Amino acid sequence: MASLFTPTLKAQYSEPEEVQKTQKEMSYILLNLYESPPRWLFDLPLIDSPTPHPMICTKIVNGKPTYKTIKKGNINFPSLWENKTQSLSSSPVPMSDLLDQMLIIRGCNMNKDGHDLNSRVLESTAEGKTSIGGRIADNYPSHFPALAVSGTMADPFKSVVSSFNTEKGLKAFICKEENSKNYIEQALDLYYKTSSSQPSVRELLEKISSHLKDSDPLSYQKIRELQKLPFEKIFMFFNKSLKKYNELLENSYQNDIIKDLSDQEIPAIKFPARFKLDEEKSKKPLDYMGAFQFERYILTGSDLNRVFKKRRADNIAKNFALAETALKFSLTNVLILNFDPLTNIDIRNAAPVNEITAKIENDEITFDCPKDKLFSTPKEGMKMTFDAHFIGTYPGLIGYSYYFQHFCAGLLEFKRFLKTTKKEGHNLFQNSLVHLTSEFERAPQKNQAGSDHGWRGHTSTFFSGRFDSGVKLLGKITKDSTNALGNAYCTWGAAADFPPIKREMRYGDIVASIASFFKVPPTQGGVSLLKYKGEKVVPSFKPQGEA
Amino acid sequence: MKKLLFVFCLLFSINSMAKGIWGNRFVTYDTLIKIFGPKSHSILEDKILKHYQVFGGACALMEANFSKDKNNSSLYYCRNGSAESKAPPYANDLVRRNALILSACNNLVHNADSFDYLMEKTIIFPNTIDRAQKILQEFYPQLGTNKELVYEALKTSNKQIRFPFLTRFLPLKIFNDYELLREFTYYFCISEKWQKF
Repeated sequence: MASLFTPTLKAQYSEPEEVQKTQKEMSYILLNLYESPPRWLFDLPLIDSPTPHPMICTKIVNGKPTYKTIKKGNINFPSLWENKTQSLSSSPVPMSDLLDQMLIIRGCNMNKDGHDLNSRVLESTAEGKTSIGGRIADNYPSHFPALAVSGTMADPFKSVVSSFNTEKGLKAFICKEENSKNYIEQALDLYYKTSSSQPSVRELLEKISSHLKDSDPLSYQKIRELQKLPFEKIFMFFNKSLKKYNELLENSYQNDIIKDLSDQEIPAIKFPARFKLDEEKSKKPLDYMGAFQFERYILTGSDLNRVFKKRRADNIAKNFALAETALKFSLTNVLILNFDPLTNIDIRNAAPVNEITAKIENDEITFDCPKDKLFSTPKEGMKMTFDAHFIGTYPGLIGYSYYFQHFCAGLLEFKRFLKTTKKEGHNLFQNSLVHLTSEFERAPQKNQAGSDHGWRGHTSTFFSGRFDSGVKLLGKITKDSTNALGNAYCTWGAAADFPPIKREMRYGDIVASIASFFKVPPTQGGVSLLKYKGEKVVPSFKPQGEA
Repeated sequence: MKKLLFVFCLLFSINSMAKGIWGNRFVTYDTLIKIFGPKSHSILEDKILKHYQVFGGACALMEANFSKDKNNSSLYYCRNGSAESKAPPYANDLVRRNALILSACNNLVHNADSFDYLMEKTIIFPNTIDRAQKILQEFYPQLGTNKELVYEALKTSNKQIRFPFLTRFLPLKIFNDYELLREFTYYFCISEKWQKF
């Protein structure tokens, strides 16, 4: 009778049940570009005639940043998709191969500013409450409730990896950057190295319990299941997968070409730099040279592509290798992966913005920087944060385009893996939902010196074998949106009213959609944008675009 | 009605007490270091204290016990109050907790310094059963003398370290007392009740 009063305790301390496979295993893979890079370059199609801003561009044409698109179906995709990227086969593949069984939800108003705040919201809106990933983990139990990678930019206690929470209060296992152990070793080390406990030991533990007049939770049963994992095979698979992705990315760094970007020289500023005085501008260097800013330095040199020549994005390989291994060996059904930005950025002779001097003569303004103040990056290079407050048009366009191209190579391979790996009679892609997202969009600064938080817009892109072929685009964005300072208007992806629900979309709608996909109760209020049609999952409303 | 309510409350409180709560990392550390001695600190730091998310426990009340070096001190002390800590007050992940306890106990009983510290406490007892009884009391002082449990545990330990099919023919002959007690200690170390309150 008394146990009626303590249902939570009863649940918590009862013996863990064997994993009951009452329904097919389904997996949720959240790929989070933490710190929000400009998605208008990649998976955020803007409207047909966007209000232009020089920062919202996809190419350099005749020396000028230009926004160009390619049409697929009736969707105008950013022109980056016309390029190719590397694959495991000998020849490059079109990036647009990724544009299949894909759903883009744009125009979601996050309503609040802040990276960590919005990052946490991707999983859960309330501290300590069951998150959407937690609910999926509860419904599709596995060895680990969730495996997560925090990355080097996010605080593991504040970002999306921290907000995962199951009904019983279990958190995600967070893999960290460690030299001594790779991600999979970190997760399994604890079980690999412990000596196994025999059934007779369990009997003894039960006897101890009975002498103590209490029941044991016997978590050892679950530990025994973990101890039975084929560790050597798993470690070997991870290393093989990591090698595969590393080689793929290496190939991508060396051979990827971006039309009208990497195939031409893009000159930066040459000091002394002369400009015609503009009455609308102040006399500050960023008002004239902001487009060339990289983290409070003005880039110099004859070709900006050189800055990115040694670029690396190693975390892409590690994350996808972890995801492949975890899904292949059914270690978890929920993965939360934060992606790190490009590293190894190589800057030569950049001028610190605060060291630049200005001289006005007649109708000309001349900027210069003393030679002894010029800056070159240390040997290990610099990171190119996704949070592009201080990254101007040119380095932003080149650097993020490269990043998305490499990311696309990784994601294409991951998608191929999901499609070719079978479990329970289906390929993994059929029973997975891959969610590519970031906290919010970016709103360009007037002087092109960087872009700020566009929290009135958010894009979530999904891939699944349950979607029909092609791309579906849901959501409306406004034509004229302001930036944070209210001094520049353009189309950058801010939410507009979504006609079927007669209001702007909010993140609860996306959570409700994910919940519908997994047939679990949603953790936030909202309207599901997806519904089941037989085995397929289709948009609940008429899409704004189809390809 | 009041009586009925009282009975309900009584049953509720007894039940809740019986379930207990899991000791946090400091309580767990404290229990084990008393049993296995100060030289077991590094094992316990590695397997228990550092895993604040698994064991819970925001801050150490007594600073003197723990590492004060720059890298580790933030793991244990909240000089600006417990809200500063990133550790939850208590833990829910029993699987990881018990896996760490398994690992810690395995290391403790196979570490000469730690295990010998415990063995020295038992040296004054004349036979294995009494020595095992002393070990049991280290983990469960509330059980007092419990020869039945000790004998059962020794029998299981014996099976684990010898050929199981021979045990029915052999008396509980102690020809390797040290190994037997090592196994015995391991079982009580990994048992869960001493970790709960």
